[in-house]
Amino acid sequence: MGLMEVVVATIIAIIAVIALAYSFGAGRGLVNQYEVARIALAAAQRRMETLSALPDTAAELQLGSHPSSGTDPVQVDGRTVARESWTVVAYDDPADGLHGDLDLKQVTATVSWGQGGPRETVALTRLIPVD
Amino acid sequence: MDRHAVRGLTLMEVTIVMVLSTLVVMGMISFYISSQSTWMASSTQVLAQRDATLLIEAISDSVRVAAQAEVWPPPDPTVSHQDLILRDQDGNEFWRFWWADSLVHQGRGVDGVDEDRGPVVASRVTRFQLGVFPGLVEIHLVELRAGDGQLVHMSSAAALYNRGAPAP
Repeated sequence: MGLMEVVVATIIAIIAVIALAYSFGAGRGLVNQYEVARIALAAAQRRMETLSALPDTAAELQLGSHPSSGTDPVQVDGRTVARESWTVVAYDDPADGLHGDLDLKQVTATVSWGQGGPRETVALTRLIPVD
Repeated sequence: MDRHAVRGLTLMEVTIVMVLSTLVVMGMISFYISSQSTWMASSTQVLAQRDATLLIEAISDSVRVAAQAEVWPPPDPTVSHQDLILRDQDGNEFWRFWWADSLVHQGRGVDGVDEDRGPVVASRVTRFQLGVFPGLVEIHLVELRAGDGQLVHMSSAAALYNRGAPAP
């Protein structure tokens, strides 16, 4: 084996190792990304559970977008990791035979996170009965 | 046969090849150690994250079938760990979660003695803070320590859907 072959083999090996190292770094990045995704999903569940514990007449359950400020911070241990908002729209139960009446409220809680790049979002929807 | 073709390698060529080979092997060993460390850190982090989710889901599932909830000691930012006691419509305790030996245990409290059913998840929990509001149990903070020492935080809430229902 000549010197040239060794040099070529070395370059190929280095490229392969760099590619592998990059894939490990990318994998680690995904782990961190999914950590925030889990926190966001738990935050969306928390918002949904909080809303479902409120009476139908609560300000948070009036039709429209909430909160009035646009979004609220999602904080875990004092650190803001995402922002949340929710919408309440009238939902007409198609099975009751009446059109246009307010049978249920469809609540959608949305939690968004990410800075600089594309924003990630998780959204949960639930129908809440009207008293 | 051409004399030049069979002359072999010079000392300089052999030296350069050996130096290059050594560099490549050292790089690969370093890469292996580093990737092993990254793999371990990622795995333990993912396990802790999964355990945090499982813990919150387990608490939420129990809260949803409860009629009343009680947190002890009362919510206080300086308290790191609390007990969550869940009761049926008649006020009888049917389940509880509590922190002991760095783990969150679950079971039934009978006459002041915890009937321990074991830890909910295997990951060590460094903070377990809760709050109770009308019709709602808020899991303020679940903080787990991953195997590599990193902390995983999560919070959520669960509604007491059975608060107006007969005893389960």
